[in-house]
Amino acid sequence: MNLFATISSILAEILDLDPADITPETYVIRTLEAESIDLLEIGVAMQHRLDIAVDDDLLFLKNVRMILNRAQHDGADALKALRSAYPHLSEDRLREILSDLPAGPVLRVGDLVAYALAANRAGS
Amino acid sequence: MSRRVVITGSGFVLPLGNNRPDVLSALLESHGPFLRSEVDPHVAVCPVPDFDLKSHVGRCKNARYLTRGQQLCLAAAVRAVDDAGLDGRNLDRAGLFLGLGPNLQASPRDDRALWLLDYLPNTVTSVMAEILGAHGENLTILTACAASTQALGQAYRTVASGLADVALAGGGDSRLSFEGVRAYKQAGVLASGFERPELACRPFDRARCGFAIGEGGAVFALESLEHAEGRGARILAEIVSASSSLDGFSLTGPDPSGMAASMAVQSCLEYLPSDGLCVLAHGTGTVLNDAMEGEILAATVPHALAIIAFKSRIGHLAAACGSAELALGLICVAQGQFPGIAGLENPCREDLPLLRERTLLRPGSLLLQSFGFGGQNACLGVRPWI
Repeated sequence: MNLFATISSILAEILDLDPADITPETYVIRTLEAESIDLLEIGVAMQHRLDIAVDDDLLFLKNVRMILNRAQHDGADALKALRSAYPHLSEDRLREILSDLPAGPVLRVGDLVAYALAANRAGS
Repeated sequence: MSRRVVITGSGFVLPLGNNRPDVLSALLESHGPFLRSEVDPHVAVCPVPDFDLKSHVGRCKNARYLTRGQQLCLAAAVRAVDDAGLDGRNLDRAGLFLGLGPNLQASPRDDRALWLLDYLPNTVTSVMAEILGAHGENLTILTACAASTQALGQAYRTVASGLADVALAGGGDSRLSFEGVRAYKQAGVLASGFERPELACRPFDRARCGFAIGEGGAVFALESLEHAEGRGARILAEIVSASSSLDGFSLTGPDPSGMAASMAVQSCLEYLPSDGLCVLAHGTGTVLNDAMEGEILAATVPHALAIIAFKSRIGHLAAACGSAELALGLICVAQGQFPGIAGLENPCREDLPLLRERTLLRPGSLLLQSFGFGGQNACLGVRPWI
């Protein structure tokens, strides 16, 4: 199964977009303007279409700021804290998130694909 | 406090078109664009061809929660606002009054988080409020085939009483789905045994045997006369009366005595001049409705200028029938000509001025009648703005 194609099609359907406008680098909230109600639908659709268990907090990187605040409070390493919370994301991607955070919500379509890939591996 | 209320915009997406020239040209044809239903060839339907919500309202992700009928309503509302020349400054306190039908295709689903919204009739009202920025008094009305006429009446009262200067009102519905066709067929209200679908629905004909299913949306912009004149708006008509009543008799067929329906008709007539009255009849083409309605018309308006039955040309739009028929009526008023009742060969009554052929008419007033399942009756009195 082409995970990116399936997830693009889910996003296009729910957000009323042309799938051709969606790439792995596309920001889900910042660019596609997904709202909380949309994320709810995207989570359920991914669970159903990809037959994977979905944790919305992890899938949509909802707690990034909270994790970083806590790490700062505890004097822990930010990258290490993110790595522990989001094991499905690569080291490069986690570094990118840290530098990108001031510009707004960091969630990209590629993050959803990475989550689905890890969930598939865990499932099999 | 009672203020004069005028119609300053009319938006519609109907089987005959979504602009005045197309609709007018279609009304000049001998029959409406009826087809055999794709889900049941024994049923006549009148669909809106090539409807695409996006072409009317742009990107609309919440359309995923809307039925086709609700999407038709939304498209009509956007067109009404454009037609009236209203913008955000006029709309932020505007009322919103919609007559809608049930979602017959809704079901609990594993692949959708908020399928609950499919069931909630006010979902489209909320989507419309967001798109148009209308945040005032509102009602989502579900009184079967009287719904959009009743919505217009409630909007009229709201503006007349000063609760809003501007209100959008109308409805949308579509029952062309497998479920809609099946529901009506099992209720025994559809025309059957026809040779050609355009001859299936024959209001007020002795050989009538039921209605054909239409779909569409029609929404109007209502304003207080003072507000409309203040912004230099073009005025299409004035609403002068509105009424509703309940048969309390049967869940489907009308009370044959027409007592409550007649009460609604007479209540509206009190404020309409008797000269030059044109009746936009409910005229479903069912044996029971037309018999009851014929009795009421003979008793109340035997000297009307004309009686029109637009369902012979667009089918029965269910919750949206009243607003759709008013939209057609106002187009005819503006052109000074009305089409005859299509398929009417042998009138069931000789004592009524049923319009048999295209006629040049300049009515002084319109009476809109809608009678729905559940014995729901609603009427609206309208005067063309001349």
